Amino acid sequence: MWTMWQSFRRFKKDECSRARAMLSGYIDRRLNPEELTQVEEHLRTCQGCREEQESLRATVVLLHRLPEVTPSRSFAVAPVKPLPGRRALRGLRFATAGAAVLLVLAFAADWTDFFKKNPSSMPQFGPSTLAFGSPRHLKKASPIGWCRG
Amino acid sequence: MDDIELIRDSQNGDLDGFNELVRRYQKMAYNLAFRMLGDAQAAEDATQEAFFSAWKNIRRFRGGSFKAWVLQITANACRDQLRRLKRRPAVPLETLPYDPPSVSAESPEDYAIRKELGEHVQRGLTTLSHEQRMAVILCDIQGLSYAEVAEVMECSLGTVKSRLNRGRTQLRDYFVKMELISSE
Repeated sequence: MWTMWQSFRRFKKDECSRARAMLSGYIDRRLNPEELTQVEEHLRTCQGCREEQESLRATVVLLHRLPEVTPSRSFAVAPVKPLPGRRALRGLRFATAGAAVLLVLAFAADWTDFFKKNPSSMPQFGPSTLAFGSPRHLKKASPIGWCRG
Repeated sequence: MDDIELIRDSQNGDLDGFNELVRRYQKMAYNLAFRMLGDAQAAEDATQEAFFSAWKNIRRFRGGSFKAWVLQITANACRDQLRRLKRRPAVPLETLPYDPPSVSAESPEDYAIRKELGEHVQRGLTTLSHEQRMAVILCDIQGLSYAEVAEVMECSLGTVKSRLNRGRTQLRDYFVKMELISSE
């Protein structure tokens, strides 16, 4: 007997959960005919769900009564003017990119001993300029330096 | 001029035409932002951001409901604002601007009741999750259909129904607690 009562209560609870999940749609008249019949039949027999439906309806009515707020200003979009000096900025950007490329090339040439392998591609300098270069080059430097071949 | 012509002009770069659309939809967008954020300044920022974004992306609008499109952009701007607002406390509700009474016969008492009701409802809305709040505002305050809410929130009809149901239930519990409605 107790088990039967427990099963009945569980069934009733599931039925209430199903009906309550459809209450918003019921209030807004958004249920299909089958769902509508299910909810209406359940509401006829369940006092708790009827009260739930009434309080949800009162909530919706309250929300509908909420006053509309007025913004204190317009949100029109203003035309965007080009920033002054934009052309100069673009020139500066190109110059920076060029300098960076040259720097990378210089490092690459130094790293691969490009000028050592191709001395003819290098201009001839006097002894006073021989200190220029990496420590590796400095070790090998002689009075006429790496320009001797 | 109707919306379709104004949208076409805007897509051809006519800012005046776009600003006419702004005038038509700004109150609706601001109300969504205001109810979502509960802060007049943040709502203004979100609304301005939304219309600026709409102007930048107007060429991507491919027909359908312009109202839903604008509200969708406003909803996204509100989500961004909510992330920013987490870092600072909200403005007291007493400073919120309310629509002046449209009926001249409204007494100061009625106005006070309406204002108090607005404050309570606003507090109740802040107890909901962002997505539930959005569904309740769009459906119950702005009067959009379920299909329009689904379009604005970019989700299915089933999701709209469940968010609305849970949002209303939670709000009902708050209203009962505040004795704005009875539990029976």
